[in-house]
Amino acid sequence: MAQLVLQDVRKRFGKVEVIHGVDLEVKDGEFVVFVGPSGCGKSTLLRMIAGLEEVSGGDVVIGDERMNEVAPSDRGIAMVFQSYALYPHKDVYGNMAFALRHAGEDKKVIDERVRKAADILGLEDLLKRRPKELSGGQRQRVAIGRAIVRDPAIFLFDEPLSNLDAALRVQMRVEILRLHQRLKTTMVYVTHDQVEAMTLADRIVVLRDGRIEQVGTPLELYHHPKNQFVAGFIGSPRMNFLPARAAGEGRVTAAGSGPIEMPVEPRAEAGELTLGIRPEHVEMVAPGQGTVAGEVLVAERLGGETFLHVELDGKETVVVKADGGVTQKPADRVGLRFPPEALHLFGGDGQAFARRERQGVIA
Amino acid sequence: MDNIAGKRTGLSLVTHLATLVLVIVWIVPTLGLLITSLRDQDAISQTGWWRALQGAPQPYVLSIPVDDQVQRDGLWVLETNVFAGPTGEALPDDILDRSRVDAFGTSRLRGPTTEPGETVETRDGVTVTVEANGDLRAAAPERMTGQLVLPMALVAPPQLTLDNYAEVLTDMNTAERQQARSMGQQLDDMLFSDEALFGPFVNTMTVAIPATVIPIVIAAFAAYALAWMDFPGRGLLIAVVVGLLVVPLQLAFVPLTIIHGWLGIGKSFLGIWLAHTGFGLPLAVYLLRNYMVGLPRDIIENAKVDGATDFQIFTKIVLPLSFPALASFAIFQFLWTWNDLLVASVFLPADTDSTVMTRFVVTNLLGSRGGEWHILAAAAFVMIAVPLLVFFAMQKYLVRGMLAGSVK
Repeated sequence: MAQLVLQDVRKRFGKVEVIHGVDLEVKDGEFVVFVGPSGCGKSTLLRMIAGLEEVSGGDVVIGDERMNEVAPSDRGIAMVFQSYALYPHKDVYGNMAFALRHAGEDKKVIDERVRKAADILGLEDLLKRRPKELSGGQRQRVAIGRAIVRDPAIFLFDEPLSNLDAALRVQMRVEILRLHQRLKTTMVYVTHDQVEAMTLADRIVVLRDGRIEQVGTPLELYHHPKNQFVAGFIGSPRMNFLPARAAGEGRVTAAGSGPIEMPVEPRAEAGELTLGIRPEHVEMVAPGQGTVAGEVLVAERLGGETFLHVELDGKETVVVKADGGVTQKPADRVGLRFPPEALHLFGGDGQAFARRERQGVIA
Repeated sequence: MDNIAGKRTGLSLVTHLATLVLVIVWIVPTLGLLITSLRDQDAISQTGWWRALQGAPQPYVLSIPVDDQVQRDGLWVLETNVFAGPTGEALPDDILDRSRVDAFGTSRLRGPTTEPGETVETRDGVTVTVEANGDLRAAAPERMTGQLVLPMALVAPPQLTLDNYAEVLTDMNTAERQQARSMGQQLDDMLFSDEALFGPFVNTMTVAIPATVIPIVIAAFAAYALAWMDFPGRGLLIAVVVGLLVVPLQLAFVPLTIIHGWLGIGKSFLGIWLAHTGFGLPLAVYLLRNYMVGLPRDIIENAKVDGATDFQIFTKIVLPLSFPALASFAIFQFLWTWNDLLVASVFLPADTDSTVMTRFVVTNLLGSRGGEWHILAAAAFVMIAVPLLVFFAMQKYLVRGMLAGSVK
């Protein structure tokens, strides 16, 4: 059963349309992440689901009910804001109890639910503290706790981890995952960080300029990006793109390489082609061997792995993810092999050629 | 709190110095006024307030009996203390108690010119030494006769008194109050007599408190609506409010008095409350809206998601968080209505029952009693006491940091 359905949802600010008709179905209990560069409309879309922005066109359906004109508090949603948005003059208990008090709940019920949420999040000892006496991670937990006590049908998260430092972000990411496993509630999560999206999501919705570029599981997006934008956005470091030319019989040449067999379904395509390969799939071989050759520009050594920026003879740059122990230095010549099964091909309009291998597609 | 760990710059030194200077500039005259208001009328005219604790020397002529003189080493010697014995009994009580000798002399014409501890000779050949504590030693070759008559400046211990306040509040000095009491007058008869300051004090309260509370209540509602509720014409309304900020209130006097006449309000306390409310509202709405619009949007939206209505958001979230702005406006408005003379003169009736303090001071004190400093100082301090209280009560709400911890 679909818990949340967006049907041709549009948003206009005055004459400017910023969301151009979004269709999406979110299943019950699913963890869906909206991801995209800033200004892509992902937060606006979330706020429309929450009821904080008016819907200019289309329908927002939660459960089986059209919610376009329903007040935020009656939609069965709870939202966690990027800035936490705690009430500074109330203690942790007061923050978490606020919604229930307004719903006119019984004092005992409120107490029970607040304590249960505090227990889930490890906030029992902090209930009497004010927000300013809490650390960033604790504040974020209170914000989540405030959402939990409302027992919503859908949790909405608006970049909840952006204000935390890197270490805490990883920790809170895990906590949110465990929370989802425990509560099994539908969650919609907005982030600009593709790592967060990949690690948290059951399904990722990639947005750009108010349009959905692709919806799919993290591995689907990783292995079968529909277009060059999604291919570049998912994965870190981003996919290498090389201009390519058709060489007939399903083969292309790129960056001074010989004809390469492509693992894609052929398609009539007249324009410029783009060859894509992820840094982790490029293999380093001796100069003269492999698909292309070039000169190392920069070596970023992270210890466990090394990112080599290689300038090809055609002046394009390719990032290679290599072993942490590689000895290549800047100005060394290297050969690069592109394993055919790892290649992506995009047409002149940016649309991907369908790949034959169905790896990463679960059921 | 955030800059504790920050490095100290030269600027912070300048800031501290400037603060110190401001504090001194504020404290010194206030303290001076307070002390002056607590001093005796004569003391005020003799020394400055900063010498209040030293007391003021007062001239006396002491006649000292010489009965106790003894013959020693060929001289007749008298050793006594001017504050003890029959001499002391002739002195007023406040002088006798803990006083000292500031100067003495031997001639009533020249007066007390000798410092205590020094020795002078009288025309009769008597050498006299008086110590500051009153110990006197007189020696003469012949037996002294009659009395030793010495002019002395005696310093009474500092005297701080609330008499000035009693006098200005009831328009009667101690003697007059006693007389009035004996004629059967009660305290409130005295406090509310036509020439007393207490009535105007109450009237000023009656004007200032509602004239502060009413605009704040109205402006807080208006400011919330202008800051957080979406309705057509909101921008225009804000522009009108800003425009009203620069309208001089004198423009409204004639139309307002006419309208008050039509409405049957006339000249009354209700009229001045409405007038002060109207004159204060633009600034209040403007200040409060600007503060409220700066509250984090997320908090208000979160409250909406939590199910709070606009009214609940206003009372439970926005009002508590806006306390610093409410407090600062309350201080401004209270001070302005408290010290106002112009609006009170226009909108209050001229009878003595509705005279406010500013008007009372101008008509009653500055004219006929302009030279009576003890009255003026006490009246001035009665006038500033309430604003001071208001300020000290509110100042802790003025400190920033109310929002610490809510966002980021």
